[in-house]
Amino acid sequence: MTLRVPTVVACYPWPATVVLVLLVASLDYASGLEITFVELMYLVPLAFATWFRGRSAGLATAAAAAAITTAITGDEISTHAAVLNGLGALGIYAVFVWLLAALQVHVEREAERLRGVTDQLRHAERLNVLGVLAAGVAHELGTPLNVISGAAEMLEEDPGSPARTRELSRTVLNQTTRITAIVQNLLDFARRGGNALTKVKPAIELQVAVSTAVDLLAATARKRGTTIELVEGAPSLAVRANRQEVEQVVSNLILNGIQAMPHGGHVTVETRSEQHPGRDGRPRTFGTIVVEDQGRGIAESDLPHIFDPFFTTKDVGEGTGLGLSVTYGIVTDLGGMIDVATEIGRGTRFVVRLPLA
Amino acid sequence: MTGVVQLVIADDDPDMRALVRATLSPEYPHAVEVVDGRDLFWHLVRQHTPQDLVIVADVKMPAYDGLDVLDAWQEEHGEAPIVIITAFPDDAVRERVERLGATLLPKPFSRANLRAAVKAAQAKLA
Repeated sequence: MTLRVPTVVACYPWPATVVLVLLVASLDYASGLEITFVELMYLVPLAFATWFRGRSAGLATAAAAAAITTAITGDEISTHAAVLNGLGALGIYAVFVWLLAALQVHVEREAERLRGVTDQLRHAERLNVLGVLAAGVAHELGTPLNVISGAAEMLEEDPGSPARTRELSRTVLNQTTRITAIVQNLLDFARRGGNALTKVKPAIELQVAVSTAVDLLAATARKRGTTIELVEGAPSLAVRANRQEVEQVVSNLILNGIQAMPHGGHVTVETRSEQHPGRDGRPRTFGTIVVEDQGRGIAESDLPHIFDPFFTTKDVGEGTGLGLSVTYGIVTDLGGMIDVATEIGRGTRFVVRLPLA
Repeated sequence: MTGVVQLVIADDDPDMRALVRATLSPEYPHAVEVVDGRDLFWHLVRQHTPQDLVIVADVKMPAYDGLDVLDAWQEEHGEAPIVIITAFPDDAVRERVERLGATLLPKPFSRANLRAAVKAAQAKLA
């Protein structure tokens, strides 16, 4: 096994920095006044400390190095000259640390952005492949589904059918209705690929779409012993979208919230305008929708998969695993972003940001 | 109307045709089943009176697309009551059905909806 120096430094930045400073100090002391380049060697531990531990760590190391070099040279030249020398070194070290820290932050941010973009691309690619497949399968399923449900209907309506037959026909019918809903969901999801961004969307009032979704689900919420509270924090927010799409996003999130609270609770829906870095990293103004529940929360191991199609933790019949992937698809198509924060046993908060028109 | 109304059922699936026929047989005892676009085309061309027809047709069929056939035929012969049955139609299909003046009935449909769609298609021409 080979241990590379940067790896060691990255793992133990402080011990490495101290060892290097001491090493350079002893070289500094041993070399005497004639050899001045040794002072430059302090830049190496300075760089390590700054890169791996930030600007303050770099400045602390710079101060230590300047103090040591002042003490060493103070033995041989006048105190005045030694202090002046030390201050000069400190100035140079400080500028170096400052530049390097700025560079490090920049590199870190860029790497973070790239990671985000790569993740999004990978997700989009997966969705695209799935979309094509879904559309094909859905189309082929229409006729057989229809034949099954039609035959079941005929059995059910036939006065000659025994009661048991009629009862079982009802079951068959109910199940075909369920399959139809799943396939329809899947198709909605698949078709998102095609009309994304290509059509110019009308500017709509965000609050109107949000309150429509809230109204639509009020009865469902009541039935499950939950309430939906709408908080409107901004006078008017226009976003470019189809109203149904925004309604779908909001109702999917509210429905998830309701389902996450089997023992009742509140879902809070809030709209506001806010400044936030966009997908390109530059800050811009968003129409933000926050949907927060007091439910069971999302397990950490599930979190990376919540936007994947067909991923669901709900009971059979409760969810198809497509709600959040459709939501994700709509939001990204609209140039927006969706974030989630969750705490087990406390609740989940989804934040959807749509660019203002 | 000049005679008995004939029901034309165009779908490549025999079970589907049987279902449509059984559902509509009380109102339309005279039914003809065609199995693809070509079959539909020739049947319609032989039939010169659209007023005496009710057509229930699938879109995706072998040979010709149901919508293409009906589009071409209506241009020549005038309008007939048409119900287009197709699985999970997209916006493009919806638009074409609209232009055709037909009634769209997405598969899977209930028998009651099929009866209602046929009535709606006839009402459009009334």
